[in-house]
Amino acid sequence: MPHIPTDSDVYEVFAQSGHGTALNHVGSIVSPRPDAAWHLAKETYGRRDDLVKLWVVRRTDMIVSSADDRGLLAAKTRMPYRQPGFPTARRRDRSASPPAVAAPREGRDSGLTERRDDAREPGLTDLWLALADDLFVLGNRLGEHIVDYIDLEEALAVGSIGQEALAHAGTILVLCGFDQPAADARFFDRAQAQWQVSRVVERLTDWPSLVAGGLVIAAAVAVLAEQTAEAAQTAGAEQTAGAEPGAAWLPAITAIRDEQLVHLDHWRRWARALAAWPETRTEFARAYAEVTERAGDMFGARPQSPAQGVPAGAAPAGPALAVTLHERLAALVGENGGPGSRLPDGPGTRTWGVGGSALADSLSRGRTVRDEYAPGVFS
Amino acid sequence: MNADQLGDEVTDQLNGRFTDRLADVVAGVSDPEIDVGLRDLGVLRSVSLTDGRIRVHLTPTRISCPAVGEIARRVRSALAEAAPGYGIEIVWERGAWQPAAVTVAGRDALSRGGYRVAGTASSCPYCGSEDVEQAGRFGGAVCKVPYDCRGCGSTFDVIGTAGCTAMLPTPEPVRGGSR
Repeated sequence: MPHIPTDSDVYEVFAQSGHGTALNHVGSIVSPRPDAAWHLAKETYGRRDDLVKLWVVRRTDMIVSSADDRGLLAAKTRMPYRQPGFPTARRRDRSASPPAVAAPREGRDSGLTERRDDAREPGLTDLWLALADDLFVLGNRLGEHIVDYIDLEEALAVGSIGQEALAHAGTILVLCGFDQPAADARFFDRAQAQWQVSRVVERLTDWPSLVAGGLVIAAAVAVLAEQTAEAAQTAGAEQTAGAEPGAAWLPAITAIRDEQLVHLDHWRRWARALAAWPETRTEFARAYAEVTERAGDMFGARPQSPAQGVPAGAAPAGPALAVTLHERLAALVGENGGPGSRLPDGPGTRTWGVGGSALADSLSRGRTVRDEYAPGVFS
Repeated sequence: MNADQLGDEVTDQLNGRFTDRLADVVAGVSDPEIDVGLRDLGVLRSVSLTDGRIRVHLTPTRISCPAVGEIARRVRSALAEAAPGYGIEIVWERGAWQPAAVTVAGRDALSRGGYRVAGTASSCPYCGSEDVEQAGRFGGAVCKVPYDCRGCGSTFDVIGTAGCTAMLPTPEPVRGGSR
């Protein structure tokens, strides 16, 4: 505990020896009286150097800490990531930890193994959950590119789009009936084999493909949001059962649509620019072709089981809806004024466990951050 | 009217007054980024009280607002101080925020912070000039649109939603950016 010392004839001496230096504690002396203490201090510590200031204080007039006060002296808001050594320590930790692997740690997927429900047609919620998977990976990938810009506005826009991709993915889960722990578990505790991302995701490995992938995913989310808003309006004020699209979905789903349309606009501008510059034209054309030819499965989600928090008995989407959505996507993607799209003529279906290193890296990164940050950072 | 009915009515009125007071407490909580109260910013939707539990409905200005955690923390601590012992539940209504929900006092506060609200005066918040020009579609976030003032050379943001381009000072949005 901090205390007042009892040795009343001891004085602490503080001296400043030049104008550029600070007033420092230089030592202690023993003296019977305060005035004698000052003179003794001057003789002891000011004999060879000129002093600017000399302060002497009786030790019993001070409040001093003890050796066991380390806990009390610890800063209350000392955040690990704000310490100067943090980036170095993090780099060291990362290089020491094993490389990104798709397989989750033991016990990660408890309760999430039941996943297939092929007996029914996919509903709108199935399509949304699959797009939420895509948005999650896109948001993670974009986050890694924020620092790559020489232009502040571009970094801000990409940061904002990445942040919104993640928030939209989370909001979709909330709309589908997930609470926060269930949403966290779905994103961070699921093995890669249980993800149902589009094949576009495995190509999200460099900047040109992120532009192409961002464009296609934004267009797909906008198309599905428009379709869902129509369905929700038809459902009317009567509240539909469970987590199926109803009037309650409307505010969030129209906000998601509007924000994704802004993103789409942004990616179109990038696509036009990359396609126009001689230095980037060839690389972008290849990335754009490879991304769009994989984008036939945007609305090809397979049904997921109630074990993941999704109520069964969702309204069947069926092949007819997939065809309609696919046509709308093709129209929206075709408007970009860049290179020609290779989107397939008809919709395809998704499979489990694709996504390659783009998904594996996103999962591993998210888990590392969640596991290794100090407790409380994510509370 | 018998004594019971009278008692119920008095209880209802007291509850109503108490809820109003709680709503004022939440309204007094300020936004973490701009010094403006939550009601003036249009973020506070409603406050209700059932069975000793306070339920606060809030709406973020955009879905991915990173300040929701801090706002919720501030609301909780303000309510815990004003009404100790009550349970507190915070409900986020995503996508419900509209620029029209910003009050007159809110517009003044935002203007002092260098912001304009979509659908209001299209003048520069610093010098009042109406000679302003949209400088892109994104500010720091999708709910902010950057503007340049040609009167005083300042830049400012117009706060709206992604879907409110028709309410922006220049009716024709700059397609594909300004450069």
